[in-house]
Amino acid sequence: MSKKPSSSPPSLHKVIMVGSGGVGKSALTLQFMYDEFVEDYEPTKADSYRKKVVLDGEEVQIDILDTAGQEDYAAIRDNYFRSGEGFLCVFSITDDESFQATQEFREQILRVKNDENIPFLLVGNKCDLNDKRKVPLSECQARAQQWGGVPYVETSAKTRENVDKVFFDLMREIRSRKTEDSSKASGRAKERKKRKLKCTLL
Amino acid sequence: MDDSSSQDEHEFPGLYEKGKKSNQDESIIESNSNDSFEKQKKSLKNKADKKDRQSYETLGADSDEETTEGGSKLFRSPSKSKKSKTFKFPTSSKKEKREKSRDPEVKDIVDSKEKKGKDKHKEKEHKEKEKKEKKDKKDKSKSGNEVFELGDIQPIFGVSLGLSVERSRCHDGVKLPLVVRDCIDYLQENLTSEQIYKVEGVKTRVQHLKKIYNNREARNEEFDVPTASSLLKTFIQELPEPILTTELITRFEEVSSLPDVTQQAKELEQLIEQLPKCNQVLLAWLSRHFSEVINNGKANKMNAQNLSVLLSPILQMSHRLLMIILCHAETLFADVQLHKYIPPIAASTSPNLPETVEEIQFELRKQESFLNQIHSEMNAGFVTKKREEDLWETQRIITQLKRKLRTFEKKHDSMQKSMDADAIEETIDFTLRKPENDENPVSGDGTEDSKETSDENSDKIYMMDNGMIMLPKDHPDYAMLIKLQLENQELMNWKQQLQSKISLERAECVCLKTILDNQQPPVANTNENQNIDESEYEKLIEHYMKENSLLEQKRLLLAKEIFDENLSLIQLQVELAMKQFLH
Repeated sequence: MSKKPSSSPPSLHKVIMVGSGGVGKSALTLQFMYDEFVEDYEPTKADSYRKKVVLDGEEVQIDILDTAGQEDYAAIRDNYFRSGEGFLCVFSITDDESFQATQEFREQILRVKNDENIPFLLVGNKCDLNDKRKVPLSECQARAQQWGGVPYVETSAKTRENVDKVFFDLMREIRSRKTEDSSKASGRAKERKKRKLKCTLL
Repeated sequence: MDDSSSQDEHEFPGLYEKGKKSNQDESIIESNSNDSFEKQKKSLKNKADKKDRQSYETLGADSDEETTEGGSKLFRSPSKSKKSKTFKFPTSSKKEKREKSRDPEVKDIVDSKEKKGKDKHKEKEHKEKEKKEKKDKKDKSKSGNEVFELGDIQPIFGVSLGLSVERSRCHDGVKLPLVVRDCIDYLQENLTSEQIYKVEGVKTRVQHLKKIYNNREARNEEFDVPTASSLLKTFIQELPEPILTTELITRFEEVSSLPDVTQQAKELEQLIEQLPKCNQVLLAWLSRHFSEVINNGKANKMNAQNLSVLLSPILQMSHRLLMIILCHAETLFADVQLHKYIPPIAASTSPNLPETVEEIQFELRKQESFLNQIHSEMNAGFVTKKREEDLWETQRIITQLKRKLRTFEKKHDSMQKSMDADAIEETIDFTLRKPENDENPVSGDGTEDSKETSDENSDKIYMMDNGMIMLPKDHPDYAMLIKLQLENQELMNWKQQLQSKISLERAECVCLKTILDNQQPPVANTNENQNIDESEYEKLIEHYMKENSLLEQKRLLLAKEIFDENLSLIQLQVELAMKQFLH
């Protein structure tokens, strides 16, 4: 939406990674961006990436903003949330606390975006560690359902399972949301025009 | 005066859109501040004006706690009722400007009379002004709905120097507002121009640029010498306080009457020390810049005498004092080098990231400073598409820089490891080899064996077999380099030790966790021992909590001690190695 006006650029979708510390937001991002899996844990403050991808035959750009899981950076987080168009809310299926924390993140996003239907995916990461699973699948699905039926996907940044899927699914949601918005906006504009016309007639 | 204001209006319709009513006063001040020759002529008239204003001002400050705007209006045009709230944006910065631009008048008076008694008045005025400024700001942010531009609510011009530095940073760490830096940079490149500080810039252009800087927009037009001079002067003029501060200005002036030049320098230095940091920087840069202007006097026809006459009113000091500062500038500010500002990379314009570690780190600092500024502006409520784009873009550049840095670090790390592996044997080698070198101080035959590893480097820098990089013996940094490398080795050793300890403890943690997992029942057992009554139980908890926090503190202290001891140990080891090395 907010791409530079120059040279009719490919559309740009802005995705934000949220979730507690250590659940694998950066790992998912780096796997998607560079096909690399980083084993060492290094807390993120904030990182941003851009990639050109082909989404259903159309070339688009994706901007990914990888945020800090830690509360310490909450002050700057709102600035990022505000400019995000879609959110991947990540937790680790091996860590119940991170799952509980998603509720908080969801609320924060809704508060900042003020929009119940913001493109949003609930992502259970580390599904390669299924033997250490602490959060039952049913519970995850129930929460996604409770949030107005947001999609729930399990990923593994390590094995790359579903990594592309979550990003692409989210981009599709953002895209359809945008076309919806623009048609609504143009509809509204037309309406206004009509009304204006009427007024002059009167 | 009235003529000039109406003329302004003809020439630049829209310039005073908002506050037509206050035009007259404004143009008096404006033309006054912009033309320092005229200013002096006018000082008499101003004196009269000023008296009037002062009384209004006090009135304003006393009577309206809440509505300062009203106060400042009062003194501007007493007949008018409080009108300004309905103003739209552009004038609000002008309002502040107007307030500030009174300073030069004040200065003129002080100047002409050279009386210290006046300063008290001045101080008072400044305080009032400050108050007003604060209130102004409050007012403006209250009515924030009507005002959309950052420059109106958080301007760069007309606020205290500290604030404007904070709001408009040079991201390379020089504590100057960007506008000052840009002007000085430009003028430094045009020192030979005869227009420098002599010709006024076109008023509309200067105002336009001021607005651009106030809004932190990118300046996409080139300066010219008159415009840059005027813009810089405007900025200084609108500062609510003289650069030398109301507090210290009299003492500075006293120094200017000292007969002994060395005494002057000494006192000046001491006084400058007492200035706020950002004032020191601004003074230093201006002084260095002005003395450069004077040094090019042959070309630009500007000598110290003329320059101080022109600029002393704007800097709010006597021209005698300015002369003295200029004459000592190069010694007073010897450590200040004027260097051109290179703004942080913007991805869209130059996708090429720097190549060396130092450059990357430097760029990273700039970008982070820029990012912080974006955040603070956004937190202040200025969220625009442009700023959001900047935010993501800057973040992206930072991420790229960090990735690049990390790859360097990895390379470096692996290099270091291999170096460390050799180092232990090789240190002995040095001691054996050194004597040979000593015989031939001027890198003769003796150094040959150690040189052979990297002959291409000629005899400037060479590398020992063990990876130690050596400078020729007669090089001034010869010992320094060795010392640093030895230190580096010691630190790397320490790092490795710590790392191995960490991994040991991690393993321990894993061990304990598995034990814990297997031992759930015993935990329940301990719970049963809690039959002691409530209060005692609480006391126990309290006791242990205290005890534990004490122990934690002690632990921290001890850890710090270990750290310090280790540091001094390394220092000693390095010294020892150095001694061996140099013998």
